[in-house]
Amino acid sequence: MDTSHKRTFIASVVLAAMIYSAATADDHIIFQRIRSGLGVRFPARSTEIWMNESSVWLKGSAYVTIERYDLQKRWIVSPGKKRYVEVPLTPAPEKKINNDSVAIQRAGWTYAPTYEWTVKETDQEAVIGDQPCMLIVAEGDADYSSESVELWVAKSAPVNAALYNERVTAGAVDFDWQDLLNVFPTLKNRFIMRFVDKRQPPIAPETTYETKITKVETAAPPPMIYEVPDGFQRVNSVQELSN
Amino acid sequence: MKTTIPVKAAFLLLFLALFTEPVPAQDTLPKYLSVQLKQLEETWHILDLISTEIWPGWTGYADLPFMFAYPNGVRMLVGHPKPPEGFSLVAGITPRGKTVYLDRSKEIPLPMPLPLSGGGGPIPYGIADGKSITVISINIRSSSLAEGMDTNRVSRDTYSTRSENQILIGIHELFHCFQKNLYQWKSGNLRFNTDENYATYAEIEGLALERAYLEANDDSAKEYLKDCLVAKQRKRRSMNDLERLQESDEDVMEGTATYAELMTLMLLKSGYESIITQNDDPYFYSFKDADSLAQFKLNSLRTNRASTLSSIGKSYPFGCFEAMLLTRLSPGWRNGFFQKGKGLEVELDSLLSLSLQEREAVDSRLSSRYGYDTIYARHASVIGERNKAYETVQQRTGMSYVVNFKNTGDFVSAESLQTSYRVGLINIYPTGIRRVRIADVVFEGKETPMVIDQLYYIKWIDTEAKGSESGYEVEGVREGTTDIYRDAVISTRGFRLSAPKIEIREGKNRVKMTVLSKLKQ
Repeated sequence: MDTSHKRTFIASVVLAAMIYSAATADDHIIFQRIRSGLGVRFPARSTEIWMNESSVWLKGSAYVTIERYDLQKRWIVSPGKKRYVEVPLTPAPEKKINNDSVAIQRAGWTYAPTYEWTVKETDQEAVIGDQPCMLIVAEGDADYSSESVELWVAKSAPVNAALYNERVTAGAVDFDWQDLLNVFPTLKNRFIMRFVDKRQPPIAPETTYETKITKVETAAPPPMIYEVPDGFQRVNSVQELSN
Repeated sequence: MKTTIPVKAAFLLLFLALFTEPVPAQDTLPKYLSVQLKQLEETWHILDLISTEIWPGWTGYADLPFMFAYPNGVRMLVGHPKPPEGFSLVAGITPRGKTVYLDRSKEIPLPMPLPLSGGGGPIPYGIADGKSITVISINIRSSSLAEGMDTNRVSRDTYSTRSENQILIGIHELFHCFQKNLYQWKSGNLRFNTDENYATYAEIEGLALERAYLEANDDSAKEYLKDCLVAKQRKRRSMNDLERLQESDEDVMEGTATYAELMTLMLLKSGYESIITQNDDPYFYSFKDADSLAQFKLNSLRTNRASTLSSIGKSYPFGCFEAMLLTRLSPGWRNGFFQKGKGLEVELDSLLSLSLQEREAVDSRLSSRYGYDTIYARHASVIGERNKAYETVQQRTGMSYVVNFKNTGDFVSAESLQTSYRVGLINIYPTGIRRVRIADVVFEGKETPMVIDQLYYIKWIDTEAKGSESGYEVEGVREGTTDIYRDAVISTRGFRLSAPKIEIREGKNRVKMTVLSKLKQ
């Protein structure tokens, strides 16, 4: 092979590798969450996520959750016990409250705030991780509680932000994500590198939840990550995962 | 050369200063804090004497940290292995060898006259060696700071502000920590609003319990206990399964913790000498009148059983006197009781061994024996009024005014214009709130329905509000362009509020006023 053919061959191999890599590259995100309140900062908890258009793999503490949108299935896997349970991807609608549970005997004990949100973009900027970000502040006010959320959003989304927000953020934040989107719809496509959520509940002291992305990249996931590992025993309830 | 004695003394002092360990300076504590520590020392001393007589196997009480929070913003932590941020060591003050820490970062110049009293419970507070630390958190309220107490309240507060009562509260909370190591709490706190059936049979249950307790003959006492047990079953027909479990748990947890208090009073009647005196704490009387203090527990049984709207409040005296009767009629019952995880009613059932036929016979005698019809009529009237009041406030629509007192650290306690009713955490004032005063914050209501909800908030709905018109006026000094006012006086159609510092935020259908300071500065 002469030099020019050799060069062409190497370039083709590199190109093919790049195309293959791009075709199998998924979003890989790791975030840390810290709760603090009453003068105590609790240890950080880490969550790792792999995701693509059809699947999500999410590892929290003891369990791994695999969501398969192509199969409309969700598996909760216990790697320690080598067990898994299959649960509906879309939870069943909550049962209608029967008359008994709203009777006078049960009235007035629980308070669920209905927040009025105001959301403002600020001119504050910072680099979070390696992402240039800008600050958006959301203030929620209800009769007996309030919530203030700082959202540091990346100026340019490093991964598919809309998909990540829909499948992960909505379930990971401590407030109603949809409520916020109703007031500030462009958040839907913004990738949030850091949340600082200060919550003032009606009676208990203020609690702060801080969530920070510590890794965000596009890379090839470990093989078969969106499948339940071979040999794992299927069980019928989440309780059976740990018993 | 002969050195003189003063020169030798000077050298000695110099030597001591240079070569000996410095003795840590002893901080001085304000009287209200040193009195609190003395009460704590007495609490531990009493438990050293009688804890295993109160309950077999009760030890470890002295290992639990305490945290006291005061109306002036000061917090004191005693015996915590790793105090959270904000606390500083108090040098040289070590009750029972324990370290004392103060957090004065939020202190305000509010006088703290004695006597002080308060309550609370075990909470997780702080982390040491990766483990959450349980502390007994006591929120102190100063009754001397309250105003407008009527004669009835003065006599009750005489008891509640006595240091003996504060020591008993400490014993109650320490007992909770002991229980929790042994008893599996099944269902969480009782959340239940009473109805006619519940209130009526609870009163019959309480009447039978009192008669059993005061009855000298054991067989007759057991007959009353049978009434008590069957009335309890009738009462619980108003509840769902979860609420029944919750009440059973409350009877065990609060009942036996109150029993620990009453047993303390019984056991201190002889052979007890206190380690603190009235010089240490002017409101401590060395439990010299333990009998009259015990009488307050019996009075609590009477008051709670007759209270139509009380549910969880009944668990304290009901569980306590059931435990007292079990101690008398079944002396070994405490051994392994918590470990079994069963309710007091199971223990009573096992003692009384009621057959189905006997149970039916007891059931049929309750009505005539305790005057069911009269009791029912009284409770039904109150329940009807409560339901009407709840419906009234639920139906009001318009502009909401919410006054938030959470920053003051004080629960809102109001003088009602007439009667008030409680539904869950909502206190309903169907004819209005006359007045609330917290230090320099004064709320004066008009004759219009209002509620106090979630302990810290007053809510009033202006049903006459018109879209564009502002329904309130503020006098005071506004801080720049913020929503914060100093020395504010706010007037609405429903109330007048004056506060040293307040934030006013307007929402779509709500004006929220957050009190930021309760003291003029």
